[in-house]
Amino acid sequence: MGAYLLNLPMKTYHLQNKKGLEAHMNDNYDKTVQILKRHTKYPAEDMNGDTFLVADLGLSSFDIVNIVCEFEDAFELEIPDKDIRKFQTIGDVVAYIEKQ
Amino acid sequence: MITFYALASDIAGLNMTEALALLPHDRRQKALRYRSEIDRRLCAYSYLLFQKAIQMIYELTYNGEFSYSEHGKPYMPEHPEIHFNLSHCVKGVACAVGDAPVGVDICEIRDFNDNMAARVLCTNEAERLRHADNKNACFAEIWSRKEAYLKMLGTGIVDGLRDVDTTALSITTQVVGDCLLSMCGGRFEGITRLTIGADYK
Repeated sequence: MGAYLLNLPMKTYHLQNKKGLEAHMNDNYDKTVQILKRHTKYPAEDMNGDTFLVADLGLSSFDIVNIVCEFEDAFELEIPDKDIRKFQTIGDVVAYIEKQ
Repeated sequence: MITFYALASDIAGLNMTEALALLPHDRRQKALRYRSEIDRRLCAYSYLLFQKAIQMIYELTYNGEFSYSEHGKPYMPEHPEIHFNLSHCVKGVACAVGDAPVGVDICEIRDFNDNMAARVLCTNEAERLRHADNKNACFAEIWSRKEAYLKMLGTGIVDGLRDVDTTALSITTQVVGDCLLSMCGGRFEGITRLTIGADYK
């Protein structure tokens, strides 16, 4: 029987998936902020998805390359040098990680 | 190319209220956006250092906003023949000026890790690091030279940091205070410490 015939269960299924996705994204966001916290003097409460790594947090190129190395370890992925300039905001980082 | 620099002790004496009033709108907004006071000071000071440098070398008074190349290298749209580049770290600021594209980097000596070295260093640089007594100082020097070179090119961080071999390039590096100062582009003519005083006009 197709799930589309079961209105309520389908909604529940959709909701569970969405919650799972949100939880996964929140997990990636939290891990990203934890790494950034170690390289800045700012608490997690001072950061959000729209926070710019350079313009707001004052991170240097050295910091960013160092942080990218930590992202690779924490999220078990490879980030080519050419992709580093995509990381303008914390949101950019989380979106990039989600795509990998 | 002449490079001007100032150290943390110089920057600490800057009157921020007066300094902010001297900045063009976008630079003032950029400075105020930073969360920390020291980043605001460094941002303001680097612009004032640039102003004073081009006034001394080119007798040019410039209070305008910068334009930026595709990868973010600043230039004066009204004076594309004057090349300059800015850099700051927690312990200092630097401004290189010249008649050809220039790049400058000022950085403090910091800890690094093996992952970072593997990402950044080419074979010759890794070999130099392997033989260095002070690994942090050696890595900072290579990093600073690489950064200055890439800033001269105006590319920023490229695909393949390891492809840039700074041991084979003409880049000048000097120790200034607790910082390393690297610069390249055009004929090297010197390094000068330049303080923006309370009487700055």
